[in-house]
Amino acid sequence: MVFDESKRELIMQHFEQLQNTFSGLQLKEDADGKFIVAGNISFTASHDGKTIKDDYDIEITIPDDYPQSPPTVKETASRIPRDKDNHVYPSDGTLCFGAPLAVKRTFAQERNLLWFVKEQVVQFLFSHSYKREYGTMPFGELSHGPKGILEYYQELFSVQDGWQVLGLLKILADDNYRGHTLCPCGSGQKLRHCHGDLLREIKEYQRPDAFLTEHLSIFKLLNGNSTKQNLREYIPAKVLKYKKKQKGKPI
Amino acid sequence: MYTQAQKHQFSRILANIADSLDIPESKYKEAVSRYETIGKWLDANDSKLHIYKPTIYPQGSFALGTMVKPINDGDEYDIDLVCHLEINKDNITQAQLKEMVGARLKENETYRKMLKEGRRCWTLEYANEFHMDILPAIPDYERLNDCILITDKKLREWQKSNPKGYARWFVDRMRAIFEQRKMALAESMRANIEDVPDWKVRTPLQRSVQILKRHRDIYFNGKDNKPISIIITTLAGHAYQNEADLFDALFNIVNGMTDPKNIKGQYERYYIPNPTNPDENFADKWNEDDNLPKAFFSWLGRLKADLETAIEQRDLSEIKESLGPIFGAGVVGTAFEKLEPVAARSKTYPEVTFSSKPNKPWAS
Repeated sequence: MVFDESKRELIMQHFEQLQNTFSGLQLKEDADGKFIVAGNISFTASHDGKTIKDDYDIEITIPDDYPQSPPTVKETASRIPRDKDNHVYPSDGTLCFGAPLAVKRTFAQERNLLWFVKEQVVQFLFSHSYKREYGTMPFGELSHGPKGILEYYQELFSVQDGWQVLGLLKILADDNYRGHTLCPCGSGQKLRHCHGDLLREIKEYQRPDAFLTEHLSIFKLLNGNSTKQNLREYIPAKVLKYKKKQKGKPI
Repeated sequence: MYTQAQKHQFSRILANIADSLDIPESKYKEAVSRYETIGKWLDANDSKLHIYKPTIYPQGSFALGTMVKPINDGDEYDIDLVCHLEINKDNITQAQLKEMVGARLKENETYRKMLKEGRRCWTLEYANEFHMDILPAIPDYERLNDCILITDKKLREWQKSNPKGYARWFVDRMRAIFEQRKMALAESMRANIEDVPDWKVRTPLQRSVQILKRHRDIYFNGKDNKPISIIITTLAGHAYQNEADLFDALFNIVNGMTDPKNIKGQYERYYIPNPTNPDENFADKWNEDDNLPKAFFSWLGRLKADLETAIEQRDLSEIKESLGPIFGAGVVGTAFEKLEPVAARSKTYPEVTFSSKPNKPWAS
């Protein structure tokens, strides 16, 4: 059994709350004790005075560490093509609601199913229907891959320069927050008076490794077309240490 | 492509259509009481038939639970009955048997006025209610239990039949699901399973046959070469795999009915044997008139296309519109009325407002 009694209780409770609004969904337990919420979800939502009324068949997988991590969701009637342009991971068909941190951060506001479904699943499905109807994504979309991650952080940190984003991510990747140091965003202020609060908030949502991975993918992206002099400044200490062990191979 | 929810909904629509095609329970009970009264009349102490222990029992769709409402509202339900007399065929001719049963019926003032003679049976016409076809029969001692011999004015030989055996075969084809449905029904009625009569149970096989027959009745309305019910019922019985869902059952049946192994015999001849008697070929006439199999296959193809069109429709009103002409607007209307309350409950479109700052979708 994946879930202990109290966890099962919690899931049942969250599900009931969800079903009160979205009555076409059912909670199922598979042979391995995993919980799946599946069925038809119908909704009405508006943006810019334009209303969408639609329904989709979905399957929500509750993760083992729920409600720590958000669930994953698939659309099960093949209405949404399984490709990146439609924001679906082609490998497993799960929907990609946003940048990884964004999904975790939204979920963390209220760790329950109804909130998750309304704010992420319905929003995603609404956007898909809206785009089909009116040709544009109502809330915009990110580029694919590392470029999209960078765009997300640029917006989150309100900084334009990708290298400044890397400076901030480096702190998270190294899990090395020092409030008195200068903020990498170039404001000239101490971190604690600048991006400090935000960094301390988001470091709760994902592990340093995850920030490291994102950092490196953005680094690779920027380094490709740059002649930056002080590269080492932006490389997480973890990586430098690792590279040192590898005896000075070029980065 | 259609979703599980659409499929589920379609199953419910089909079940409701089959329900409204079925003979209503009150009518069913009335029919039973009517033929039991006939049975008592035939077996009364002053009846000449009394010494032959006459019994009456239903056969055909009434016995199989595959009755279909007539396509015109005023028309009567056809109910097929066997009137069984314990007489050895060496001691009676077909004409004598037929006459003997007819004479006893005519002795009753009420029956005399309602009676019509057919090629193989006597028909009692209960105006606006039923046509009771009473088929005089005697035991076939050369064959197994329940085999009977029946009369036919146009044929010299006694005709062999086994309606009870056929009904047992039909129930066997849906045994697993039949027991399951009966159990569920007992639970919902808070009754013991022994107290639930078989006729209350309807399986996806029975309902599929009803739907097939109804589609046929409308498709062939005013046309020749209408496939006979026994062929449809037999092929559906072969194709049915105890699917629990009506949608699955119907689609598998429609696709499986044309399986050559149940239709073709030696030398490419059409051969749809009575499952209880391999000597009886329901498709005998197909080998004499090519139009019969042709009509059967084109009807089945049309049914398939009609069902596929209907399920592709996105909303209820479109489904209703596409089913109306193929099953009859009245029947479909009733089916949808029964659907509305539940459909309205399950199909709400709750208003959702997004309170957090929307995330922008991404892809790795």
